[in-house]
Amino acid sequence: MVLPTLSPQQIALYQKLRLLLWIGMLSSGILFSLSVLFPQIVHFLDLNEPGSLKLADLEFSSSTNPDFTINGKIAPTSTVTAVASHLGDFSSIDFRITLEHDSLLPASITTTLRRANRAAFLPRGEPIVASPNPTIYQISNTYYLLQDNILIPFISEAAYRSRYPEGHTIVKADAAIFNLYTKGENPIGFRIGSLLSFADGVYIITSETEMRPVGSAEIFLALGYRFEDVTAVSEEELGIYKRGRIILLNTPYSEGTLFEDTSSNTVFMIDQGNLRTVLDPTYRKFLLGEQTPIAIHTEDATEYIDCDLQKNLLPRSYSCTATIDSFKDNLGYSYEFVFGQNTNQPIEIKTMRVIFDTHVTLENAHRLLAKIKQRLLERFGLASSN
Amino acid sequence: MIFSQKILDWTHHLRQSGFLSIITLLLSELIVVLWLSFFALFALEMLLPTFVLARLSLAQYFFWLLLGTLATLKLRQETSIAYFDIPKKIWFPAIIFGWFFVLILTLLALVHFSLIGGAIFFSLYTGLSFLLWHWLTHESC
Repeated sequence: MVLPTLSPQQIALYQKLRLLLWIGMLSSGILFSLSVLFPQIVHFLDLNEPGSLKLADLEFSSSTNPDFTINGKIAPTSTVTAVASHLGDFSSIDFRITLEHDSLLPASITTTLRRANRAAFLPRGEPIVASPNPTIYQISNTYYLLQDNILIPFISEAAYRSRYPEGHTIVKADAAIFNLYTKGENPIGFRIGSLLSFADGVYIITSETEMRPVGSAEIFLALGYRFEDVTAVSEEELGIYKRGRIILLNTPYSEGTLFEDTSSNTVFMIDQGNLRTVLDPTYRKFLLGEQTPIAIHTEDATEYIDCDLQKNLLPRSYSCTATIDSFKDNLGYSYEFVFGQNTNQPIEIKTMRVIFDTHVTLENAHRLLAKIKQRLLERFGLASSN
Repeated sequence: MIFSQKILDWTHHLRQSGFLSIITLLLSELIVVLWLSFFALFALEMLLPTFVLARLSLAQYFFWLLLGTLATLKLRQETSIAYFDIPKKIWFPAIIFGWFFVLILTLLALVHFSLIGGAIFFSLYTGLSFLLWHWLTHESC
């Protein structure tokens, strides 16, 4: 490097500043790399911004505050629940809330959190004590369900077999039966909750008329599904469904999804928004033969951490940090937060920030590097489906 | 007016004292590193779409980088530092490395192309590299 005319003192100063510059650049590079390898995930909600809820990626629910996401109000002695899902081993969650300028300022805002498989948060429904047993007709090679004097065809034998076990009673008939019953127009597809594949996509049947594609192989596996349970289908079989939104990690499990508690070996199914135990042994055996249930640990949903947000130095602001090491062994990646207030007047939230901090551990670094490798392989079509 | 005059006076003082040269040299080094980082991040974004963009806005980075480069070139003009005198043992391997780096990225981008298309791209890349090398070495004579 040709140096312009500088005195020896200036050259010495230049060398020292150059050393500081390189230390600064290397430190910045290391900090940036750490922020990439051990990201901090921030959910920020500004209730005065219309598009903020979608960007915040938090799912809110509250029977006592149904308009919370519109007006930010929490009624007296009531709660609001939010759910977020993230892969990774987090060490703490930071909560920060600011209230509107005309809101009452409570002494604190209560928060409880828990981590489990998302389905473990669902209410328990009545157990399933008997398997469905409708009348099934076989006319030529097509199976039909008789319902309200209408013979509704199954789109394929595979669709029929996905719903009813091998020994199910079938009445064989010929075309003359259509003199007695009307033939249905819209065929019946696969059992709700089935995993189907066509071309390069994997789809989950979420209702009798809708299928939803899964966002990626990583999301598919993270949700607890197995590629061995995916059934390849034809375009015709898939064509009866309309395509719904992509399933991401934060998407609630659909109806018909099967779970098995790792402690008690109890099998559950989601039905009408409830988690129902499958008690009928024949039906349970049939369902387990169709699909491996997702491992769940229902007891995780009974483990809570409290973190009451206290006023901090900033005006109208509350914050707290919850250490979540005790959730380390919990199954599932969904976090449920319940915010509440105990005053006799409503409070109005202006902004809410939930920050997940990632442990700086070798395991997390390995996980991210494995994800990067998988993405690279997928990019060039070299990734295997397993 | 008074403010710009103060800036000019301050710049003149720094030039006279030699500190402007120090600042220019440091800035030059910083800008080169930032350009190399930009290329690395851009290459990473090409290989893993959204991996970098989820964390950093490359457009903003590029904007500030361009501004910084212009400011540095202006300062080099002011301080008469017209060129980098980098030893051959540094710039020659750097150019070879850069050539192979761009080649690998190009080849990876051509994975889904036909053999003929890939061959044409490779020929064009090699030809343009030769022309650029010839022009640079011719200019320096």
